Amino acid sequence: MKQKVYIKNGLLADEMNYKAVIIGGSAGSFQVVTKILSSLPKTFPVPVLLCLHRLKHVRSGFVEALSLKSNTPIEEPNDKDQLKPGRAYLAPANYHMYIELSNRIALSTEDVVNHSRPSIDLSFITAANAYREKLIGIILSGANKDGAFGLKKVHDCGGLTMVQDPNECEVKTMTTSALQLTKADFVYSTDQIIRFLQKI
Amino acid sequence: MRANGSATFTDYYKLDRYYAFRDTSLIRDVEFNKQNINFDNAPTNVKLILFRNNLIYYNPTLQDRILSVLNDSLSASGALIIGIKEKISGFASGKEFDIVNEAESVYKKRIIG
Repeated sequence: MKQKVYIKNGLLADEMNYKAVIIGGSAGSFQVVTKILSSLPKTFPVPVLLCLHRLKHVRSGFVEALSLKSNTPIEEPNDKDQLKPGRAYLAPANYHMYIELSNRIALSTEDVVNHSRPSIDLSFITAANAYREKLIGIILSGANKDGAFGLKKVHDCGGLTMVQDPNECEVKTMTTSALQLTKADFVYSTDQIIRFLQKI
Repeated sequence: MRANGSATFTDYYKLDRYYAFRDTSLIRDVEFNKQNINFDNAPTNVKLILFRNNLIYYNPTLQDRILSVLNDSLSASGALIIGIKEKISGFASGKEFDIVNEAESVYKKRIIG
C-alpha cells in the first residue's frame, strides 16, 4: 500500500497543486541533486529550479555533468525564458537567477550576495514571491549560510520548506543555518526528499 | 583562456611604470562614445556596439524596442555584442540580425536585399 504524505491542513502532497520546486545547494550537493534528478518521473508536473554555487569563470560542463543521469532535461536558461513543467533550470555561472511573476526567468549581474553569484537567497526570495504557497523550497548540503534567508521567505509566503538532514550532509553549514532561521516543515534524507517529490 | 590566445598572457600587454596597457595601436583609430540609456540622439553608422548584460534589466517589450534602436544605429553589417545569456531570436527586431557567434552572442546587422 502506498504511504500517504500529508502536508499542511490535512491535504495530500498531490492535492496542493504545487507550481514549482526550487533547490539550493553548494559544497556536497552535487551528488544529491544528481540523485534527485535521476529519480524524478519523466513527466514531473512542475519546473525544477536549481541554484547551486559554482565556479564563476567556468561556463560549461556543469549542465552536461548533471544531465548524465537525469531523467529531466536540464538547461541553463537565457534571460526571460518561459518556465515549463518537467524541465530543470540551472542558474548560469556568474548570474543571479530571478523568477518573475510572469513565470519567466530574469538574469542579473548585480553584486554578489553571501559571496555568491548565483545567490540562493535571491532565487528563493523571488520564487517565493512569484509562487507564494505553491512553492517547495529545498536546501541541501553546503558550506555557506546562503539560502537560509531565502528559505525563511518561502516559509513566510506560505510555501513548503524542506531541508536535507544535516547529519547526512557532506558539509552541514548551509542546512544548519537554514534550520536556525526557519523551522522547516521537513528535515529529510535524500531518499525521503525523492519519495516526497515523486508524490506531487 | 576563453579567447583561445596562442601566446602567453604577458605577450598581450605592456608595462609602463605602474600601469599595464594592451597593444594600443589596435585602437588608435577607434572613437569611444558613451550613450545614455534613453537613446536620445542615438548615433548612426556605428561599427560595433557593446551592450553586454544590459538587456536583462528590461522586460521583453522594452528589449524589443532597444534592439530596434541599436539596429538603426549600426552601419551596414555593423556588429552587436550582447551578454552570453541574452538572446534576440524571440524578438521582431531580432530578425534584422545575423548570428556571427552564438555562444558569445555576437550578431551582425543583416544587409537587406
